[in-house]
Amino acid sequence: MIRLALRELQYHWKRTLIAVAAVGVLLGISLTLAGVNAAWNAGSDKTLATIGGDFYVVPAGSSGPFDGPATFPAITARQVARLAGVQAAEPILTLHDTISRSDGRVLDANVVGYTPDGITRPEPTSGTLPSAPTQVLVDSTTGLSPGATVTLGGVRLTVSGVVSGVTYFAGQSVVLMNLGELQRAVFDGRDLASAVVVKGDPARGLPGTALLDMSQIRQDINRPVGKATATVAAIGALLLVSALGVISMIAYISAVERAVEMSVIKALGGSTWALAGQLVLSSVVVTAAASVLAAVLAVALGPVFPMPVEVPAVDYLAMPALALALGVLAGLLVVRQAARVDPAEAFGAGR
Amino acid sequence: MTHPGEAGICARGLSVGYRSELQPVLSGFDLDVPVGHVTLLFGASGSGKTTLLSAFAGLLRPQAGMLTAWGHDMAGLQGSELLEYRRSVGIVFQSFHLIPSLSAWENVALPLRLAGWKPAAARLRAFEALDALGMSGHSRRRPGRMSGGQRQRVAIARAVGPRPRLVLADEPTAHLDAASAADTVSLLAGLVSPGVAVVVATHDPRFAVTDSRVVHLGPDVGGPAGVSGGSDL
Repeated sequence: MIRLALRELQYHWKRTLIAVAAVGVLLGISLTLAGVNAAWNAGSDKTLATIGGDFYVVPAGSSGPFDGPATFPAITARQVARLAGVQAAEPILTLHDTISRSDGRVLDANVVGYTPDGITRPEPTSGTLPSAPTQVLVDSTTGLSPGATVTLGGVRLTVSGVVSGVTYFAGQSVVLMNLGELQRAVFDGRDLASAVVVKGDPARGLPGTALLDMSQIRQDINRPVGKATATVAAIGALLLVSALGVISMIAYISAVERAVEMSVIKALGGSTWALAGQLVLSSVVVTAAASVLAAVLAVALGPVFPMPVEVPAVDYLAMPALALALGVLAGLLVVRQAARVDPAEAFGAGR
Repeated sequence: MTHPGEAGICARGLSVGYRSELQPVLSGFDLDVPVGHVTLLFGASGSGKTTLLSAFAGLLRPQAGMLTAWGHDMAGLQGSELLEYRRSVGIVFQSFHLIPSLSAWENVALPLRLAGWKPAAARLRAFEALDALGMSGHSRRRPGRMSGGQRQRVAIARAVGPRPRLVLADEPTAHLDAASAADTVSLLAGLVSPGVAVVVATHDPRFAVTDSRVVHLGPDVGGPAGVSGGSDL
């Protein structure tokens, strides 16, 4: 029956190709969307890793430095640094703004002002760390290279280096710059901070502030895109359901078309289970081939997608298992066709 | 061991029909199918020839009366026993019913594989059966690329591949030209051997010239379709 299943796919090769292409594209887009979500999470994780710290101190009532406008005096960091259990404390200023490239293009960016040579330690993949207040690091998603100039709040800045994968808010680029220069650019030099990044394990915060651990900070940085992330995941799941629908429909059409053939096989002594196995195997072969196409598509789509795509290796590894599950499910959905076939029809069929 | 002339299939007061129909197609039917002979079922359309073949093949269950095959009560066959019985019967269908996606040898090997033959043995036997029917040159062709006569030879090869003791043929010349039909008549007649019973349902009078036992089915005796006559030629 294995040979029969494979021959059937070979005989209807156009249908098989269409099925593989349709299911492959659906699985490929689903995989790519999973990669988009993974890239968003990886970007925010890397941003937090770059900023560093074990806790954040934020103004009381603020949910965190990324998802709100609350600020407090940057000098708060000195008071925090004196708290028990604190090894180091530094102010950061985070905001969402636009930067203008020298060619006139305007980019959305998440700007993080930090204190050089402190807790925050960016690692440029090209260029160097800023050596002057007007030098900045930009994420590679800005498309900028070392030496490029950008304008933020009327202040002209030079890109000294490029970091990679440092993004948040659905893959939006991060610009890392000198805290004082950022305060000058957006707050007319007022010494304000969104948070104090703390290295160590403080037992408590300061009055008028809140002490947030990294899980709370992670919630804060991901909250604005929570619905977008859920929507992307839902669309990915719907694409999987669509893939199941496509392969089930093709399996069903094949089973209906082959009703006479199945009655003949039963008349020759084939069992319902053997026929069911053949239907399931056909579906599994199609979905297995589609999973290979999906992986190729995901790799090919990543670089041309408007958002960063980082398909986790585990998703690639899970794809064959998912394809197997889809194939088995689609095959089982049409097994009833095989069970309903009456072998006596083999004599009557064709009249 | 069944000897020539002994009944391979025995029907007594047999009623048989389709589940979807209230009345049986055949009722109160008596017949012995002897081994070593060709039994011809003659009759008009609707007289019950195909129904009888289906019952002999184990595809329809007797609704009343007795039907035995080589001494086994067919009404009692269930599950794997029924499948095993079906695998012991060679069937030549009216419209050939070859699997279009399989080559000739793969079609012939199919019932062998269903019967549990190893792939290599099934392949060898399939080529052997095709060769015996003069089809070795077409063994890798698909049915769609064959003439009606060639398809019928492959269908006969498929039927005899597992060396069945009962071969059933349903209107085997219906879709063939005169030359191919004559060819098929002689091929089926040639299948008869001491341990094998051949039953052919047909309208084709050419079969009557073979050394056959003829059974006429008609509506005038025994209800909707009963035996109107049976004779040895």
